[in-house]
Amino acid sequence: MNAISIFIAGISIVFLTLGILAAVTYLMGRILAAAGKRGKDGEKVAAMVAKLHAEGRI
Amino acid sequence: MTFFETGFDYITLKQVAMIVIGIALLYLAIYRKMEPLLLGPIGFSAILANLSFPGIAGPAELMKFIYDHLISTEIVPLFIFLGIGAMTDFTPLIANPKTFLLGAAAQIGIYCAMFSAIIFGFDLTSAAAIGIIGGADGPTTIYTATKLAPEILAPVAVAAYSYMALVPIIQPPVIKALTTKKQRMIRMENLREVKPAEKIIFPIAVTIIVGMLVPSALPLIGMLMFGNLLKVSGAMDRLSKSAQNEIINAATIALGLGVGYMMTADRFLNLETIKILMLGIVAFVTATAGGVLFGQIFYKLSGGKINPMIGAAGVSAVPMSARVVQQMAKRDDPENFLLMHAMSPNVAGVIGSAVAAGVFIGLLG
Repeated sequence: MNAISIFIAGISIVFLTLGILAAVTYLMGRILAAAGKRGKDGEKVAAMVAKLHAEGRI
Repeated sequence: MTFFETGFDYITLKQVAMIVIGIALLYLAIYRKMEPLLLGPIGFSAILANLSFPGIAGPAELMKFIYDHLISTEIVPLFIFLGIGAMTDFTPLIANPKTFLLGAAAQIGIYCAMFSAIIFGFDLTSAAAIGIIGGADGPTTIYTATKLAPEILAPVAVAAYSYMALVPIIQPPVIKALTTKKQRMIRMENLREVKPAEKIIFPIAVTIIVGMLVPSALPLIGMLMFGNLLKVSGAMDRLSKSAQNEIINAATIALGLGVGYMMTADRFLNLETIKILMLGIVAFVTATAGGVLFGQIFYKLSGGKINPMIGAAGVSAVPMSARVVQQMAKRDDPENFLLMHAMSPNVAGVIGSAVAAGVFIGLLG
């Protein structure tokens, strides 16, 4: 293996690996943010249901 | 017949020169505060190594034991990486993951130094070990040099740690040459808040992805991420504290003694050492330039919202290169706070240099 091929393989693998890590980290953030939002929505619905239940409307 | 042999019967001029070099390293560590935790032990053990005379009991056996069992087996650099992981905060990188690419771009210095080393007459494996100085990461450099070219471990380690300490002097002229004052004054938006779950998933995800893509980088990345998991989990505080204190401190002493063992006059006092020290500068300058030039691409693509200077922090010398960016930003605009933005490519650079080292080891080891 010569220096040129090591350079091409090396820099490509570094960019590819860190690029994939960037994409996965970004997606992880989005998914957890969406899950957190859904969790908050769920809490709101649960609170409304509890309130309606306490008022005897359901 | 000599009744009691002393060192005066054996010492050579070259050994005296090496003892002076050891004292110089101690001076830099103690009085100039240049990487004192590493250059201090390395300097002292360089003195010890050159006071070891054949036929007389000396410290060489102990240092050889440390080198053979802890350094050449790669145990110590990996335990240092465990400690670094436990001390590193990846939050800025998780909040701004595109800066992973700045950490990748700064690794160009590794390859520039590798090509320069070949021009200087080194073979490919030695050139790769020298190139990794451009990763600006001590344990990674020592790990790679031990695997690829143990005969040049001492000068490579000394070059890496010396230039890491000189980052505040090496980087500013390069950054200034590649950015305008207007660009250096760009203020960046605050980073988003990172959830605790993200911090826990991050080290596990990085370990699995790097393990699948570059298995030869996994010892370094795995220990780095394991250390980080100890820190962020909140459930393994005792282990995290040990990794951050006792383990990394003991490993650092062993690393210094082991590297110093390689600093004997016959191994160190030669033309190759001078060439390696010169190539270290090439590595750091081109790594900084690579990061800043990629930062310029980010600047263009973001419509001027990203300060291109933060690319310089992709050189993984943590946290010095991020501090350099902050200091330069403050010089042009006292109210510009870029430290956390610069920390993001800075910690990405640690991962980038470990991946680059893994590629070298995979291809040449």
